[in-house]
Amino acid sequence: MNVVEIHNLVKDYPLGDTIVHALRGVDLEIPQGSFMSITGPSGSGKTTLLNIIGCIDTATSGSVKVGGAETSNLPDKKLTDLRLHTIGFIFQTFNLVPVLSALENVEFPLLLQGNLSASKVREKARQFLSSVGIADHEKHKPAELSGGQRQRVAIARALVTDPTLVLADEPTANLDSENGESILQLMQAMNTERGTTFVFSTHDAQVLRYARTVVQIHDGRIVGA
Amino acid sequence: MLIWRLAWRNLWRHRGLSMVVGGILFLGALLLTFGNGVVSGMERGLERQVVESFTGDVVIVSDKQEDDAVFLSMMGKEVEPIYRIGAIRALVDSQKWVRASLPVGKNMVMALNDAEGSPGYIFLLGVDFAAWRKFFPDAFQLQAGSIPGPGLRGIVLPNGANTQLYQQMGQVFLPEGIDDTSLLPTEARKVDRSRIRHEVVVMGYSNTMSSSDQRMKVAALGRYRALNTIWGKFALTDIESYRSVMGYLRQDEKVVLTQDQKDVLTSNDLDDLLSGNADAPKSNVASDTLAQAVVAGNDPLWNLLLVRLGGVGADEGARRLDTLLKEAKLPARAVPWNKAVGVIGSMAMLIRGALLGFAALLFVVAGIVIANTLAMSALERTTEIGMMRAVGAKRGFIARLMLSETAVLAASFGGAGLISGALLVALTPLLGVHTGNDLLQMVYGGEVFHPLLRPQDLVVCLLELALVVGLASLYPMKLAASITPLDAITRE
Repeated sequence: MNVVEIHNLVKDYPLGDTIVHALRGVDLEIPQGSFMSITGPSGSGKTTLLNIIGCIDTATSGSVKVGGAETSNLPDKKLTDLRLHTIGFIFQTFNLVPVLSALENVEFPLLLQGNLSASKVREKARQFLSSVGIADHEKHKPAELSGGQRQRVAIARALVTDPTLVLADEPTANLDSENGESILQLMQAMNTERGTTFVFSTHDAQVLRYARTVVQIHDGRIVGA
Repeated sequence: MLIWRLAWRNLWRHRGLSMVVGGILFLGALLLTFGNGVVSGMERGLERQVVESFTGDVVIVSDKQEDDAVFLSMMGKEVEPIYRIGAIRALVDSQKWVRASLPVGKNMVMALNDAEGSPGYIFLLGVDFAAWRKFFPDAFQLQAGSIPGPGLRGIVLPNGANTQLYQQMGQVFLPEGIDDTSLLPTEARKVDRSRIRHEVVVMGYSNTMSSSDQRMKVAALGRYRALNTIWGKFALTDIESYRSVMGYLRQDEKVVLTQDQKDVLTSNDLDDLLSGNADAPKSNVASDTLAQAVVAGNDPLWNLLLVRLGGVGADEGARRLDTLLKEAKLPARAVPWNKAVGVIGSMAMLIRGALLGFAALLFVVAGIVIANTLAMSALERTTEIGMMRAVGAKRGFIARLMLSETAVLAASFGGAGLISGALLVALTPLLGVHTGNDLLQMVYGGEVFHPLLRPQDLVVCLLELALVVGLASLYPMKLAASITPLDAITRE
C-alpha cells in the first residue's frame, strides 16, 4: 500500500516578472514502511517536494495523495488536520517551541489533538522522550540542549502522534557527524520497530547510506530511483 | 491551559515588548480612569452647584414662555408669569418621583438712582425665604445682616449684585446699622460714605403688567457657595415685594368679580365693550391685574416652579412632567435644568464633550500603538508561529494565543492602571487644588478639585479597556493567524 502517490506534480513560483519552475511533472509512489531519501543538488526541488507531500505547500497542478486523501484541493483546516494526525515533520533547524521544555514540546501535538487526558499525554510524551534517549533532560528548554538533543526532541515530537508518515528535511545538516549518525540510527530503528514511513531530503552521502530507497531529483524532475 | 502557559511564557520571553505594550496599557487605563473620575466629579459638582443650589432638576415655566433659558436669558428678557400655580403644583407634588417643589418669581429689575445718576440692573428672585432655605439649605452664605423672617420684607444682596450696582450706579448697599465696608466687593471698599445706601428702590419690567417701584430695605449681604460669579448677580427678595415691583397681584389683594364682570374682562368682542353695554367693574386695581385675577382665579403669580426629583433624571423628569401638564390642560411646561440655565448648561455639556472627546482620542491612539506593536511582535515570531502551524496548530489556535497574550497584558498592566487611576482619584481631593474661576469650578466639581469614581464608573472603565484591547488585537491576531508554515520555512 502506498502512503504517498504523486502524479504529474508541477510547482511554479512567481519571482518578480519571471516564473521559477520548482517541480516539472513529478511522479512518485512511496510505499508504507519505506525509509526513503530524496537527494539532489541545492535548488533541485527536493525541499519543495517534501513541503508539498507534508501539506505545507500546495501544488500548481497535478495530483498528490497522502494517506489516501487527495490534498491538492483541501482547505487549510483539513491540511492542518493531516499534518497533525497523519504526518510528522522534522526540520533542519529543529524548530522547537522555545518557551516549552523538552517534555512539553513532545506533548504539544498531543494537546493539539485533544484526544487524551493530561496525564495520558504526559505519560506518552515521557515514553517517547525516553525512547530517543533524552528522558533526563525533560525539563530543559531547547536553549539548554545541544543540537543533537534538540533533534532527538524533534524526532520524539514528530513520532508521538503515531503518524503514518514522517518527513525530515535535511535532519542532520546542523549536527556533527557523530550526532548525525546517532539520529539516523534512531530513525532507522523507529522505522524498523514501528513500521513508520520515513522520507528525508539530503545531499549528504553519509545519510544516503542509511536509506533503503534513494530518489534522485534534478531541476524539478525525478531522474533516478 | 496550553494556551495560557504559552501566553505567559511568551510574554516573559519577549519582556521588552511586553513592557512597551504594558506601559501603554497602564498609562491608558490610568488616564481613562482618572478622566472618567473627572467627568463624574464634574457631573456631581454641576448637580451641587446648579441643581442643588439654584435651579432644581426641572423648571416648570408658563406655556407662554418662548425661551427655555429662563435664568440667564439674553438681555434679561421678561419671564412670563405662571397661572393656576395651585393646580400645577398639586399635580407635580402628587408624583412619587418628585421630592419637592418651590415656586419663585424671577425677572430683571431696575435699581433707581436717587443721585440722578444711571440706574442699575440686577436679576431679582422673589421667594418665600423659609421655603427657599428649606429647598436649598446650603446654597447661600450670609456675611452680614439676616434673612427676613415670615411676613417681613427686604432684599438680600449677594456681593455679585452689589458689585454690579456699584459699577452701574456708583452706589453700594449695606444692611442698616452696618458700615463695615470690608464686607463690600474689593473695588467698592474705598467708596465715599455718602454713596452707601441701606435701601434700594427697585422697579420691575413687564410687557403685560403695570410694574411699580418699591423701596426695599437691604436685609442682608452674602454670597452663593457655588458659581458665585454667575449666581451672585441674583438678588433675593420676599415674594410680596417682588409682586409689587412686577405689578402682580399680591397675596393680600383679592378681587371678587361677578360673572358678568368676568365675561367682560375675558371678552374679545370690542363692540360690546365700546358700546357702553358693558358694565365695567369699578376698582382701584389696574385693569391688567384684574385680568390676571380672572384668569388666575386668585392664584398668586410666580414665574417658575423649581422641582427636585428622586430616582429620575432631569431629562426624563421634564418629559414626564410635560406630558402630565399637557394631559391636564394646564398652562405650563417643563424644562430640564441644563436648558433652563442656557449658556451654563451648554458650557457644561461642551466641557463634558471635550473630556469625552479627549478620552476617545486616547482610545484611538492607544489602540493604534498597541495594534502596531503587537503586529510587529507577530511578524518577528513568524518562524515560531509557522512551525507551530506545521506541527498541526490551526489558525484559530494561533489567534487565541495572540488574544491570550494581549489579555494577560491587559489584565496585569491595564488592571494596575485602573487601580492607580482609582487611587489617584481618591487622593486628589486631599491635595486641595482650589479655584475661584467659575469655569474651572465646573470642571473641578466645586471650588476644590474633586474627581469622583462611582462603582459603575469602574465597570465602564473595565469595559472601555476591554474594548480598546479587543479592537487593537484584531489586526495582530489576523496577521498571526495568516502566517503559514511555508512563511516560516522561507524565512529560515
